[in-house]
Amino acid sequence: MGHYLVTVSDTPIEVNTDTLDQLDAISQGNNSYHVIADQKAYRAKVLDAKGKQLSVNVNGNLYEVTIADANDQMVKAMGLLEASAQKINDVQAPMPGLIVSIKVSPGQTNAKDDKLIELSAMKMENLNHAAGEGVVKSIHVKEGDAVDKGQVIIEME
Amino acid sequence: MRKILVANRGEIALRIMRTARKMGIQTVAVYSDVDRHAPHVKFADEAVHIGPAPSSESYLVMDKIIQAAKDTGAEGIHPGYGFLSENGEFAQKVTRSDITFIGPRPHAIEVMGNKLAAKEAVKAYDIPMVPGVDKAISDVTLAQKIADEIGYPILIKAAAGGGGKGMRIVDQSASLKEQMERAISEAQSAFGDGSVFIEKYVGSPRHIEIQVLADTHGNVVYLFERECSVQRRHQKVVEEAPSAVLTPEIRKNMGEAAVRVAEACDYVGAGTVEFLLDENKNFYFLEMNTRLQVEHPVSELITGIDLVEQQIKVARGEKLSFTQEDLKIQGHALEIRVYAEDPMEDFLPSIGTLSTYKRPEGEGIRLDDGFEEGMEVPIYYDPMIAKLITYGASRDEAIQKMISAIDNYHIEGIETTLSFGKYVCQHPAFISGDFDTHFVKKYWSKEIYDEGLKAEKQIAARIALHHYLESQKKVVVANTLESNWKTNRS
Repeated sequence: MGHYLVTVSDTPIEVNTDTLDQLDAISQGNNSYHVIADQKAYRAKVLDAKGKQLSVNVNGNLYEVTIADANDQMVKAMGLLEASAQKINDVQAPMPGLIVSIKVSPGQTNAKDDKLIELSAMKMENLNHAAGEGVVKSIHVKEGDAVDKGQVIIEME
Repeated sequence: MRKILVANRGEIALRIMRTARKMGIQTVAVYSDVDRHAPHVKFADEAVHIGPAPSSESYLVMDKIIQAAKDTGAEGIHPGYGFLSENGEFAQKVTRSDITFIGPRPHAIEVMGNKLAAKEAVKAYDIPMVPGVDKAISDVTLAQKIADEIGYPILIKAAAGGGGKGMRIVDQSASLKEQMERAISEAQSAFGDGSVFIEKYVGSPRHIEIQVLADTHGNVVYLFERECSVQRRHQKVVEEAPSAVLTPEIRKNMGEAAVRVAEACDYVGAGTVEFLLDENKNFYFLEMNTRLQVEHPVSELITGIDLVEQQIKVARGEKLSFTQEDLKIQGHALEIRVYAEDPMEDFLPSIGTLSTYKRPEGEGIRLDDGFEEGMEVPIYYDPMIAKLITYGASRDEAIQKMISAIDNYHIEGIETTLSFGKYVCQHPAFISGDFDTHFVKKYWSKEIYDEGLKAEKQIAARIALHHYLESQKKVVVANTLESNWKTNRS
């Protein structure tokens, strides 16, 4: 019991189980609840629950919820330590799409705002500019490749 | 005309085929490699594969489409919107192949496709225009002189432009030179034509357009206005008819001006004349779209007229069966474009598989879509996956219906503009009708949106945690613990 870190659609919220009991919620069966908070009424329904991953609909809006107990939070903190070893200036795809052109090559030094790659999806073009000065170590994609959002496309020295 | 080919995909292809079927006309679909499973292909009586996914190798290849029409014996081609719909050369080629092009004549498409040519064409027809020059300009000194005459701020626009490309707002003469050079280079790379012209910049404009319909017997009518001011990246997201701000007098003046624009280019079929409305309710001609618009359903709902049916009848040479006097506005209609985009991330594309796709249903709800659950949203085409349209006796009723329709429209697997649509419907500026094309810039940010949902997120967190803890109890021990959570089912 005790403290939980509940992430609701990217927003982390700390919840203490003591405060949980003070919530004015009535169960309506079928995983539905009627909640009153600050005199406001909320209709909530748990749509899908796989352990600590849940989908909750509140007043028509859908929220993806992840629950982390003290143990999970510790594991995650350790993972973050490892991840931070990865270089922060590696270039990631800002959106999913197709690589139209690559404007740099390995070994090349680029200045801030230099054009790096051109990405296209759904008739929209997106030019990725360098966030700062750096030397290109390797390029993980080639022209015509499809990439996912967040995929590392250029590794910097 | 007993068989038509629809040279398009997605919701619009399906929407056109539905009307054709209603009229007893056979339909032919065309599809690329990635669209074999698309509803428009499954709906059609015949379907022709026209090549690989990129539209430049399939939906934009004129000869493949015309050949498909010939092979299937289609007597007409409906281009929908986008793709080849505003390509004069395509209309020409179709006509030369003895197939009916369901749309205007090539001449009208070409004239209205170029902003300067369009201005020239309507010059003699007493159409209000934004003060500015009506020819391409590259001489900076001359531009300075003209800009001084019109008064700053001014707008530099590309003659061949669209979608905001090559467009620049200039506040003072000191930055005119630099901005003009940039606009010319942008227009050159985007459209292969560096011509730009100068107009007075209208400060807080509303985008209001008039639907027109013309037959081949000289009859032209207007089906009132659509308000399309809520936009992102100069593209519409929310549209409605009628506008919340037009008086009957302005409506009539705009409608009649739109009819004159149509007459200026010998227009035939369904078309849209776009205007800007400034804060003093002066309206100015912007451009004419020589095709069916994405947002045409709102006009259909308030007039009771099926625009695709009218397009086909006009293409068959029939006379319009109604006059201007017969047309009346009834009720109010609202449309949200459902884009596969993340409104929280600057409306960037969001691609994926529709793991959940549940349509809202009910009276006054119309959903024009082209996807099914389990389908992947392809990266090659326009991000619009559906149009959610609601109809009510009043504007308020249409807005309330939209909110509940959005709540009952469940899409998972991709981000969409539905959340943005709900935000708009609940925003005081939209509800009051006092908004302009800067709505997104003025009122929308991830921070503002998150703030509005803070309380709901708190509830979601607690309900989820409660649910999780309860489920754990069930696993570990029998539920003997006393809970403070009341239940109304004893």
